[in-house]
Amino acid sequence: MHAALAERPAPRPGGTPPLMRFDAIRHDFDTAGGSLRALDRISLDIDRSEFVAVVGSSGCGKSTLLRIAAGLLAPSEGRAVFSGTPVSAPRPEIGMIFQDAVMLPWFSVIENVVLPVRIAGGDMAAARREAAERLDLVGLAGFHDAAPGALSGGMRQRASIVRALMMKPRLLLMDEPFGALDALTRERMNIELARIAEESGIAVLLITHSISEAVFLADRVVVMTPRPGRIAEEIAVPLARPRSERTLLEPDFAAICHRVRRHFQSETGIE
Amino acid sequence: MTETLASLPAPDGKAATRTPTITPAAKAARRRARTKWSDRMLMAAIFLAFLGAWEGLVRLFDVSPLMFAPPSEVYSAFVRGATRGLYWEHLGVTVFQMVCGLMIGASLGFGFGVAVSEFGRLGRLIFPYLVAIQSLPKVAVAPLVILWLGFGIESKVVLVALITFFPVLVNTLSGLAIVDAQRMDLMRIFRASRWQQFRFVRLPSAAPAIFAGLNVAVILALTGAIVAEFVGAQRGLGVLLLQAQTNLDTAGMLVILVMLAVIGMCANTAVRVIERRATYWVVRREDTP
Repeated sequence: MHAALAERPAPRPGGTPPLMRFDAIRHDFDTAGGSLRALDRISLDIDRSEFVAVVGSSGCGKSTLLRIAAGLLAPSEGRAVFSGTPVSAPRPEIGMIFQDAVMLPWFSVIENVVLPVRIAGGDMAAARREAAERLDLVGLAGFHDAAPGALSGGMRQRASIVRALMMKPRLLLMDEPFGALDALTRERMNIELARIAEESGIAVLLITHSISEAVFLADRVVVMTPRPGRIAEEIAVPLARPRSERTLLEPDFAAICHRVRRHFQSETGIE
Repeated sequence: MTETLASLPAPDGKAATRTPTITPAAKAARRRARTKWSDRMLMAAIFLAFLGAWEGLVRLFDVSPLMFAPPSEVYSAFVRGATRGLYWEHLGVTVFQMVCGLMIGASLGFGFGVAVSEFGRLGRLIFPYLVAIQSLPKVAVAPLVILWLGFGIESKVVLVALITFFPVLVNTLSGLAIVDAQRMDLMRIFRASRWQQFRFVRLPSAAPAIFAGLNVAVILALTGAIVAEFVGAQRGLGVLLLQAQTNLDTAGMLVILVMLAVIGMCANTAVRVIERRATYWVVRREDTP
């Protein structure tokens, strides 16, 4: 695992900065019992259009890392750099998907979806047209004016992905987006997310506990160890794209899943 | 792709589409309509039984008309008063004082609540005074307010406003104190301004609590108007009530009490209707009265 830390990718030729760079991030939380180290020595690059999945057990600081990337939280040490500039506050090029879809119940589905445009003071008529089209595309035709509470968890999460895409982000941060869904819906959502990421070219940083989800979706899987959260290994996933149900049957898929899983078997009491 | 999506289970519609004849939803609606109708019949029966018992008991025990009156007497007293045109002006004055005072008090309570919760420093500075005034029984201020503003409508409006201010203020404060961390994160991700955060998330989140305060305030408004009239007024149902008492007109007093009960019920219902419309997203138990 320490060998893996040394294998960090060298600075790319030509000096173009990566889309997102985590630069030696450390984060401590102040708790009643003193300071708790959540993240330690996290350095990670995400390239344009790259899909990176972070797997780790609960409490390994994955969500903290995502909040730092989003500009919601300032790290105790180190910095997150987006396309050459440090992230100090949320920015429109970085979208975020939460574990619960976080739909506002007083707005209809489509009103929720166009809310970011409304807040940014954009063209609402165009936003509504675009939102309606995209909602139809993800199977929410006929639910535009429904209350979010009338939708299933999977439908709500699809609406929230559409909402995040409304701002045309270059990087999408996803915090366990399908963790609350049943296994069947989750699998369909994975296939759909793979398609969206492949077609749009948006880079994704996905946080998940699911090894197969991470391997299925990502170009690179980052394994994190808990307390303090550290990167144990980065594993490239050279599976062909577009990914589909068939990907799950490939021997390489199983092999990579196995390689990720070994990290958790060596720890105690996890998975 | 759309095909795979269309084949996703539609969790809500499925059962309904499978049975084309009578959907469970329609059945439930019919059952609800039936219970509603039988509830109404039952309510009417209970009301008649109540009137009957009141009338019967008063006559059976031969209660002195100075102490209490049966509903038949109350009704004829009402008809006598109504033909003389006794009630309407007083009723109008009391309702006007109540509604005006409530609107002013509730608006100020809401406004101060927002100011105190949004501008923390202002809140810390004025909060001790608000607490001091709140712990004071507001009707005790009535003699002073009447001294300043006279026996007219103005003093009553001010007293009602003073009384209704606090429940709305306190509930606005507690409603705005609740923060849903995820919704606030969402607002920050969208880079919402403070006003947008307030308008899109914090105010709607606080609305149910604010309405709870308004429900309390509406009843206090009527109480405030009547008590203020007791202290000193020329017109209003409170004045009429005192006059009936002076004339030993017990049936007349009961007429006023029934009127007050009706006003209170109407006002309460009005607020509830507004509440349901304004907070349409709140899921309530179906049988909430």
